[in-house]
Amino acid sequence: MLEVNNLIKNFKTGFLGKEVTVLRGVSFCVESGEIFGFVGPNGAGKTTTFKCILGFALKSGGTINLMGETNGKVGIKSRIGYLPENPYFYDYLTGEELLRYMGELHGIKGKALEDKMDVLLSKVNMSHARKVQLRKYSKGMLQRIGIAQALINDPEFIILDEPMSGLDPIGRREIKDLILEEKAKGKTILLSSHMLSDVEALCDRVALLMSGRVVRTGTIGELLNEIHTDYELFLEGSGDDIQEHVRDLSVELEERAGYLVLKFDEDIKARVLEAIMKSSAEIVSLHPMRKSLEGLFVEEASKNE
Amino acid sequence: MNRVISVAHNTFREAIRDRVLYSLVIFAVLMILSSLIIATISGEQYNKIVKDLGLAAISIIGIMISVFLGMGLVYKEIEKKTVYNIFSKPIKRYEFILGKYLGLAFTLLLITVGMAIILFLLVLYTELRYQGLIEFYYGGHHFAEFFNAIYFQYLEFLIIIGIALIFSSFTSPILSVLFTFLLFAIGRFSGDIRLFAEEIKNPVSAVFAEVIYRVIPNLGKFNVRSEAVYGGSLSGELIFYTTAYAIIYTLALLILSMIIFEKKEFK
Repeated sequence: MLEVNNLIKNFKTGFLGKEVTVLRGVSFCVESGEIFGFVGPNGAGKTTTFKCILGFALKSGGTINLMGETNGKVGIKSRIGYLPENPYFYDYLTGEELLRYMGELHGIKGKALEDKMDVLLSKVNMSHARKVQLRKYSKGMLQRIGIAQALINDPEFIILDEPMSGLDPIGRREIKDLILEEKAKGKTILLSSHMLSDVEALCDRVALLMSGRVVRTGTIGELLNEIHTDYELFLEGSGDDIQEHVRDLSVELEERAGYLVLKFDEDIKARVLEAIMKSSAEIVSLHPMRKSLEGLFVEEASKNE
Repeated sequence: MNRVISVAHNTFREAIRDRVLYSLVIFAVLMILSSLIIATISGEQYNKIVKDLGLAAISIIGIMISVFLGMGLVYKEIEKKTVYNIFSKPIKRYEFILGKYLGLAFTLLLITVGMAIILFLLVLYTELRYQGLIEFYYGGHHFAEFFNAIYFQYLEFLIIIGIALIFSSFTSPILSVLFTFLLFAIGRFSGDIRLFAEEIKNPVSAVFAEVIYRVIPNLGKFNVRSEAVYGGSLSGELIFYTTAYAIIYTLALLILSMIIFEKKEFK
């Protein structure tokens, strides 16, 4: 569906036109029918990558193959839906006027357009606000109408830049369901996010972008398997006593909210517990630190610093 | 073409929901109406005053609308990042530019027609009241010339929108307004610049003045306000050539805007 190879983007900034490299060779590929997550901290180049894919910015190097097109013909856009980051719309338009305008640009008109608008407005829960000007919309409402306009042409390939931003938990749930619904219809979705829990819940595969480079790509499972599971043990009791008992084990100790917290790897769990039983400390809780993309994200980010 | 119309429709909608436009239109109507008051203290020159002041009001307000709405035509879309939405749809960049231009041109058409109707009613009111005097002093009502003056005025607006559109596609609103007014002023005095070029001895300055005269539209051509008052020869030929001049200039300006915008990156 989409193949990006060694994409490079330089921007000229300032009066003297000093060159800044934003993308330093981004490569990834999105397969047909999957939800692909593009993850990375702010400024990593997620939006710039999207801009190059859609032809808003000219690439400085590399290749982009979008549905068999390599030089960004305008016609291909009738098969694409796009939600920009922090969607800015014409604030003097009402919700339905925006959808009608965007539909017209796709060449949809008449009853087909009006029917499509009704369906989408109710799908994103915005039917009540269809006649309200966008300047009166909240951030979450803008995000929803933005998603509706991205779907107006029933696109095969949907690019969503930060679709969850500005939404409350219920709104996020609804948008997640909507994305999964599109996937069930056979659509391909590329979304960027720094809400890692959402990416984990939605995406089949993920690319981790750091400072203009893709540092990891894989399924969520593959990426998570690379992370060690740690345990956290909360104890009540004297610190010296415990330190004595776990001295030989690789355990991190810290004090948190009046408790002594021990962090350790899964493989020494039994030995740590055994040692604690010998001490005078009382176990308050023991729980595994969840394997998450966040761990990987933080790990990679700290490597990059 | 449908996409061009959609963009034009939205540009029109934006203009008529803009408060700046309303204040300018209200100001124009007040100026036109005030000509009636000034006419009453002007002895027997009512006709001249109403027509002159009224046409000047239409001209000033129309130019201000062309410049102030023109400066934001493209700039605002880039600045507010609405271009991302537009160009994720299958629309070509030149279609967008054409749509933006036509939207504002249509807005100005409606405003010009509106102001012209108000002014014409005032002219009718004063002229029919003093019919004998008018015929004696001015040798007739010259209604055809009056409408011709308004038509030429609209042609001038079309060129000014084109100039504002070019600047809007690559510079900030303040510079846009500055450059557009500058070109407008040069255009209005284009004839004088030509005269200057003929008089001048220094060959470098003469060539420079000649180039300015050739490149910048001669907006003086569109001013036939005195014919609207005193009558005069506005031949079919003149109307045809002036129209052709405006169309060719406008097309050139549009093509230039399209070329500039085609290469534009949205950051």
